Amino acid sequence: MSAFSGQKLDKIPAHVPPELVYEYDNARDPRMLEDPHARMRSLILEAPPIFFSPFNGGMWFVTRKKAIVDITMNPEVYSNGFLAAAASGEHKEGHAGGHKEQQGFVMLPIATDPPQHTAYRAPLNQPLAAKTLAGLETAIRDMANELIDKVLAAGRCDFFSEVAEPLPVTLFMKLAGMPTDRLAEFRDLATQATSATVDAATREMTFKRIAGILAEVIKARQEKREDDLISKLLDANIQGRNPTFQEMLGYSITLFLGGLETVVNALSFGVRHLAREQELQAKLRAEPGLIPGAIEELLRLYGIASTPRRVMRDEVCHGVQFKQGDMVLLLLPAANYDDTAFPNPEQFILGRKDPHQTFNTGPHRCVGLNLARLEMKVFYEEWLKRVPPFRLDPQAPPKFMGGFNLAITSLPLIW
Amino acid sequence: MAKITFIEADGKEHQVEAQEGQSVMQAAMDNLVPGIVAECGGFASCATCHGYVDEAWTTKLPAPDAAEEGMISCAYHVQPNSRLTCQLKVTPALDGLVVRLPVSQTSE
Ligand code: HEM
Ligand code: FES
Repeated sequence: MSAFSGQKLDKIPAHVPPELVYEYDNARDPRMLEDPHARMRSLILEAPPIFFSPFNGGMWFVTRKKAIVDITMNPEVYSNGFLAAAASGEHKEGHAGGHKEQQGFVMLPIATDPPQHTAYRAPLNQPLAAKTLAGLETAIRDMANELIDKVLAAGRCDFFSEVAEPLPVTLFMKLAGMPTDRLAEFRDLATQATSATVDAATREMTFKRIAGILAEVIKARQEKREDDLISKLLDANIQGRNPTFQEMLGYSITLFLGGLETVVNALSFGVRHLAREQELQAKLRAEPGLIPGAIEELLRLYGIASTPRRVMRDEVCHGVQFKQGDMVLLLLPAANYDDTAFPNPEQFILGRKDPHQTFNTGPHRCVGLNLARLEMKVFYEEWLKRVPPFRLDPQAPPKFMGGFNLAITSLPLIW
Repeated sequence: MAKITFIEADGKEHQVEAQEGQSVMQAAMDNLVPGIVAECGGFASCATCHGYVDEAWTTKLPAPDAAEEGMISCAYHVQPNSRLTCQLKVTPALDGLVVRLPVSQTSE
């Protein structure tokens, strides 16, 4: 996170060969802001497979699937641990010997490395397994239909703010056991917390407010358990003990941030694709059984999150020399356009063999992917069943944003 | 070195040479055995390296720990001899191990 708000370096570090330098600003690159995924494809075609950009504080960008898989499978060398410091507002360059007492929370399980990560991750696996979630399908269907009811008659909507945003927030709040009357407040906080363009002070404030609200929920569940995720986590067994209050906060904040902006944007980019492809829309309406396969291919075309790692020792990766302390950003949405894994990567092709990289690989592979898939499946089923053929509003083309997530900021549709 | 035989659900057999110290999952991946996906890379977090250990071997293996047990309960097509192959370390004692694979690593 601190890496992203970093300035452009005036000097390329000595260990970076000039031929591997490529200027790409993860938050503000003009071509990315014009069409994020076309830009991902151009990075595959124009930039070295692993390149160093002086922007965002100076870091490596990895765009090929194989290299990303290798890095994620080797957490001993490529660590997530620095996220703990970033989230608590601690400075990256710790003073010699000074180990600052961390106030606040550690994002769990994302900011830990195995073997510690395995212990923290375990309590989430079961509550978020496909088997467990099947029981939520009816509730999700009702939520989707409520949102469709609100926009259907008008013949138009801003899909982003009227459908894509409310759905996952409402679902998260239900899953976590939170009162849904704070919906709008929560939505704003989620958007701010992950935006690359808000300043560090605002982000810190946002984190504090989110933490405050979640802390209330945790305290309420400590008093009295309900049938929700927070209650289940309170009773989880982490190597022989229950999670502490700080750990509970760390879990809830990660779940909150991890499951909102990502789903909102995956849905929006997917629906934008359908709005521009009437034939595909018609095909999916006629054969809803194709929807799960179509969702996977839409997830490939429109990857959302990229994720950083810190290099823990000097290491050569696919021919590139990394130095201890270097930051590496895994551009997952670019890996989905890697021809080696995905022939004709710009085309929508059902039934591809290679799995996409949108949920990443390795120990941190998205724990919410079953929920995300279920949410999207139910949503597309209802939306395609009820809404007539829809297209983009030619008067108001969508706008995009960069940062940790490739994002849309509005998506006006008409039907 | 240990010989391990993977048997796909349709009966197709794959015999591989596994290195001591690696996981049974890794031995399958190194030899491109179909039917093992291993999305998390061996950290007991995905249950897509699920296999059934042949009767003769169940007692020769250390019992699953809590993380493995929890993850097995998330898998599909579970049987009493279900294991996560990423949690099984290859030792010379496992020479001849037979692992059968489920019809699918997902609900399909
Ligand atoms: C389409 C929607 C989603 C996308 C694209 C997505 C993407 C990702 C990615 C790429 C990672 C790996 C990060 C890394 O390797 O450092 C991840 C991890 C995670 N995601 Fe998701 N995610 C989505 C939905 C969700 C949902 C719905 C939830 C909440 C239930 C969620 C919760 C998490 C958590 C808690 C982690 C951390 C897992 C760990 O560290 O072990 N995600 N997600
Ligand atoms: S490889 Fe993921 S659980 Fe074994």
